[in-house]
Amino acid sequence: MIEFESVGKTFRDGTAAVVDLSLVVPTGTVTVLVGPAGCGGTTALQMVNRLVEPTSGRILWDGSPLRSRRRTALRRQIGYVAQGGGLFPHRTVVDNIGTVPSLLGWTRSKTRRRALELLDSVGLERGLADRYPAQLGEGQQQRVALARALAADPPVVLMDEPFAAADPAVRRELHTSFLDLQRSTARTVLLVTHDVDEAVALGDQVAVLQADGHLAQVGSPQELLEHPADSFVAGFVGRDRGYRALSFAPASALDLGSVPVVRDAGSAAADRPTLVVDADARPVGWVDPAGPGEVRPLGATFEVESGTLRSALDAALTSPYGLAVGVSAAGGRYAGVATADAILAAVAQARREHRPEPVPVREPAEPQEQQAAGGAHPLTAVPLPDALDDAEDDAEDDGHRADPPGDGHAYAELGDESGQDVDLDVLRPGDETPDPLGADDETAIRETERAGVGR
Amino acid sequence: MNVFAYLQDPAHWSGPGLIPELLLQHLAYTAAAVLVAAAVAVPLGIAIGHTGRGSALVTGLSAGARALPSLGLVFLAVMLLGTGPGDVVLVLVLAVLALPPVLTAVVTGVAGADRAAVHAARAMGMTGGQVVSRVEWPLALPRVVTGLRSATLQVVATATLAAFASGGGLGQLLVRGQAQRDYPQMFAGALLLAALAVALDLLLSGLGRLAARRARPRSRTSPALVATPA
Amino acid sequence: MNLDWRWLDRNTGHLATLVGQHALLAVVPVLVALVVALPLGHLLFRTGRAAGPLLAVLRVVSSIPALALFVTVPLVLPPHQILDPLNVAVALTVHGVALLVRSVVDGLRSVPDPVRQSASAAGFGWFGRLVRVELPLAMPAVFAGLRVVTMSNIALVSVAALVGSGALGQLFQQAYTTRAFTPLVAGLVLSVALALLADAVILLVRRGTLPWARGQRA
Repeated sequence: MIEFESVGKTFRDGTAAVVDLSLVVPTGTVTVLVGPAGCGGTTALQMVNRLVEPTSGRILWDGSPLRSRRRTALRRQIGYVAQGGGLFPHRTVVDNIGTVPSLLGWTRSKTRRRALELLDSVGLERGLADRYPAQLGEGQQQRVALARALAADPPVVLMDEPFAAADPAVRRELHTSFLDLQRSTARTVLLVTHDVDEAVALGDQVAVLQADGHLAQVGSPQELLEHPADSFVAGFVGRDRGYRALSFAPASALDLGSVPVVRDAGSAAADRPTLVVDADARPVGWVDPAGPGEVRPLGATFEVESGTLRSALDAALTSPYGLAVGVSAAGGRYAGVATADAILAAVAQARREHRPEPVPVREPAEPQEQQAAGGAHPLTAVPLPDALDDAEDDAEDDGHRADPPGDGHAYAELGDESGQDVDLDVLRPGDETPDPLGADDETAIRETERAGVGR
Repeated sequence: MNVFAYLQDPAHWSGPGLIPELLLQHLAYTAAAVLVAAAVAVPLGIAIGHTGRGSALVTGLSAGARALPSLGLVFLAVMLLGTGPGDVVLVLVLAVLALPPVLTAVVTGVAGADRAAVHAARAMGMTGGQVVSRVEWPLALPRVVTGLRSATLQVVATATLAAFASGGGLGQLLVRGQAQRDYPQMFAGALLLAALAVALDLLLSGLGRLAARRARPRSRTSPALVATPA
Repeated sequence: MNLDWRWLDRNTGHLATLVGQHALLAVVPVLVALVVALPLGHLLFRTGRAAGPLLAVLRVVSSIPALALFVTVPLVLPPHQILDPLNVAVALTVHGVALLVRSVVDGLRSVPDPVRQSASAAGFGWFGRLVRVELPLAMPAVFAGLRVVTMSNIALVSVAALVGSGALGQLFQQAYTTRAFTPLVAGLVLSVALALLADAVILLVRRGTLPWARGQRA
């Protein structure tokens, strides 16, 4: 466990990079430091392996202060991924990975074996082992940097924007690799990023830092998305945070309906949405009513067992009929459909059942955050009762509800069927459970909050 | 022995064949040679740097030129052609020796001008000539001045050899001092030579800094456009 | 211009000696300068901004023409004889140090920060980091400096003939005073050949010791 006790860092030119940071990084979990440029994340990170020394406060590792250990010995026990990778251009991939092991005195053969194993774990071919970093692509270099940090099997790993240079697709792969590695060996990880999505995807705990170096809020990703402490955090986490929070609700909560399914697009009647599947029962497209035998594109699909409500809603929105097609995780076989309404109903249901998890790592945050907020409004400093929480979120959904969910055209079609042909076991518009508070109260609460925090 | 004896004697500071005249001669050689070299190298270098063709010629030339012994060339030229009217042969040899560094500097400066800026200039509809005069050349100036600086130093040093080849310049003090076994005179020559070289170097480095500031102005009042590390 | 082949024939031994002397006078100062420049450059690099004035002094020193050094070095060096080849060697060493220190500093400064941080973070002490990471990465810049210094030394040794011992430079002087072309051409050819050979050797060594830098320009 790593503990920051009122840690501060002011550089010689007067810049205060980190101010009064108190944070606990529990053993075996991933904590992400996220914030805008200049928030002090990199500095905080570098104080853990003593590349930078704090000007105030101290950091403890499993109870003993970092200062009590010799720097080089400390660093050999902590994995580090520098911003931009920092691979040694003059050494081969294998030698790069084996840097710390050879410093620790491992034999050459043991080091090489370990390096090759790590290449496998980060998803690189062994053939790259004797190449130089300049001969690798950026995504590959980042994987090598990761492998290098893990080479000596350190209990603690520090990562400074490790995936920043990768494009979104490569980054998603890197996230998956990283999470797999963390699942197989739980290390204490402290990661810095400017990308809120990455923080939410990778962190067990997320600490949001402000541009002036103060800690704004720390908590689980879900908590940050659903209960941002102030308008800075809310703004930083993004206006889509409601949508993002759906990533935490499982799609398995949905009750699925069904549609007629055919193998040959020409054989179907054109009067209702009919799904075309292939020989393995995998969805291929929808029967196009305009052209006999034509197939309309499928849109996205969602995995029923392992998917989230977010992917289900996305599937509904991209489907030509507003029907999200669910498939099984193994084999991608058609498993059923859900309407956007059904999905939103499931969201409302999930929220009613959800209670914020107790966050033991949330240190004496209250006085901290109040000071940071500069006399915060009582509503933001004190945990809100569930009802009021729901009210705030529902108020946002009011906006959504006003627009016809999904493809209006599709609903026109469904409406025409008047429910008799479409065998959908889902709720229709108008069936939503009303929120506990009236709309007026919601607006009042929001305005007082805005006035109180006033940032 | 007072090595400064020659310098301290006021008689040596006025009159023909003495310090002021030699200094001026030396400066004249240097200036003429550098100007001639620049007159050839700048247009040629711009053409090569802008079009990107012929850069192999430049790298080959600069590599080869480094291998040439300046003394041998100076003597060869004078033996073949004499010093010529107004020592023009000497000036030309010096110019030829100064050509490679200036040419390389111009080519790398023009070719290395901020690619994004050049691209934008072309996209905005500037003709080739406008791209050169308004974008590439101003951005290339710092490097060109650096090239001129090293060329000038080289010429100042090599111009000393002119005196050994029947020419003028500060080298005369070395030639005469050696013949007359007058060490203070030789020392005077060496000291003045060093002073001249250093003075020119400092002058040109100041010019270089001016050129750099014009190519990339950074006002003190506006915040630096460099992202502060997180 | 007719070459006196008989003269060449007669003097092959003499020419060979001169080439050998020339090579020695040019190369030894480079090696000594390198040995001095590495720690000095590293020291200046570590001093950071405070090194500015000293680097400026070095730049001034490197702008002083070698000929001036050839004449003034005897003042500080026994046996106070200008003609002594030792003066040439010392002058060229000083000149070389001024140039190479700059190369070493530039090279060390060119090591990217993330790489340096990674080295520290991996647990290298300052010395280990210097020897295993920073210096190797500084070597391309150092090699570039070595090439420049070596080539210029080869040319400057000839110049030294004007005021003392100058190996192949003697041929130029002899040619000029006797108005004979053959020694001049011989001197030119041998000088250029020596320079090209030296450059090739340096490039080969660079290639051998820096396999990772092959794609980069020297």
